[in-house]
Amino acid sequence: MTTFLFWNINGKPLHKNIASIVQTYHVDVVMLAEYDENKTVPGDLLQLLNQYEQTAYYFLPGETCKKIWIFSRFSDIHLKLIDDGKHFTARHLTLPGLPSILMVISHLPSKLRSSEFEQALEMPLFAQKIRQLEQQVNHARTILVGDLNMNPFEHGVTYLKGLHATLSLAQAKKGGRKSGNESYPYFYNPMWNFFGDFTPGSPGTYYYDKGKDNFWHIFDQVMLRPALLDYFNISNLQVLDNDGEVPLLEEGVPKLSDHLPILFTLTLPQGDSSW
Amino acid sequence: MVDLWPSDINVDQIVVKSPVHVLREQASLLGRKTKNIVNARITSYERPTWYNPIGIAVSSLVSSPPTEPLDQKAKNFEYSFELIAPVLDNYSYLMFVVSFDINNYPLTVSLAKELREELTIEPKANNETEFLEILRQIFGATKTRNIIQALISQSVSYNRNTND
Repeated sequence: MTTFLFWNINGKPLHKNIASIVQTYHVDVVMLAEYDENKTVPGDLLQLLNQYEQTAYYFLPGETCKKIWIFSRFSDIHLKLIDDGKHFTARHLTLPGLPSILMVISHLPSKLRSSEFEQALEMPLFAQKIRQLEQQVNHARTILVGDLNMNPFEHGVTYLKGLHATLSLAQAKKGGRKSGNESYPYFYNPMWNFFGDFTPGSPGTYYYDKGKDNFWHIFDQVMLRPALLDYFNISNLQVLDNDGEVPLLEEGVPKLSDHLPILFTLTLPQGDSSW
Repeated sequence: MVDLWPSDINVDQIVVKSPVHVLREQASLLGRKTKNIVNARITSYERPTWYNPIGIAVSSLVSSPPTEPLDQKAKNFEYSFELIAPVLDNYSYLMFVVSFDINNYPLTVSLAKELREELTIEPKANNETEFLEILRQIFGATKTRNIIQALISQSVSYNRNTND
């Protein structure tokens, strides 16, 4: 089982909380957004993550993308940078004996700088980029994870020519849809299951009290292509409200960062050469 | 089909540790010592084109008449050993290059200029023991220590032991 963590830390020096989550949940790949180099440096977190003899984490910087930092138990041989841009970094996870995974990790422009309409207009380009990357690695075992700065129900996320992410597992398993001569594969977006009070954990992943509606949003999302669905452990997907020791909420809202971390796992078929 | 290959050829029985294996072991140990703040990277090394302007790509299989023994001079392995600081945008410092042929030994070590100025070592190893001794001297050189220390100090904050 491979465990992944994504957290927008809002520029806060949260090394101890990150290290605590990593240790508590045995995280293999740590993906952080809004890391503020002026307040803290990745070498400090690396030291903290590697304070125990039994684990060795690597810092895997991007080239263009400075918004997302990745720490991983896998070196850059196994989690190779294949492309990155201002708002995303793409890594190819190739672990011995396991099918490779394309990971696209993103931090898309904020609603403070782009309207919902502008965000939606950008998504076909981003979706096309992901399909190009899938062609490059010659498979579509793809995970898209990150702070999309859009909710799962927004057009940019759901629209056929956008990310085309559906809330239905059964629909996602159909593979995709055609429009004209183009095929548009689905993503399955399990984050729909976390809205509101009567779902596991907090009402969302991001809290913003200066807006005009909702307050709670699910901007932090993980979504998967159909080829990965059988290996995605839906019950292990969590929006964390504690770091294993310290609560991340105070009076019901995020207190350290304005975002909460998301944690998910994949159990890939060992030695399955049919992929 | 008759299998003409000897039965003791198999990948499970590696009897000779190649120089590149030795380098990878040492690279891994450096990562452990520095908590992966400084890593070593071993990659297949391509010399700049000016190094051998006439090239060595002509195949001896083509050039040798059938009555003469084949000349295997054409193929050497070369690996570079670089220090890498991932936190500093993957800053790299090329320390040395090892060159060897299919027999592994003897091998030669080409040092970076600053190391060559400091060390007075015979850049040739006839076996693994001699190779390890060369590596010991390179890793222990003042220049090497200074580079690693500089990379570490730039990769972590000055007052890193205080609370976040």
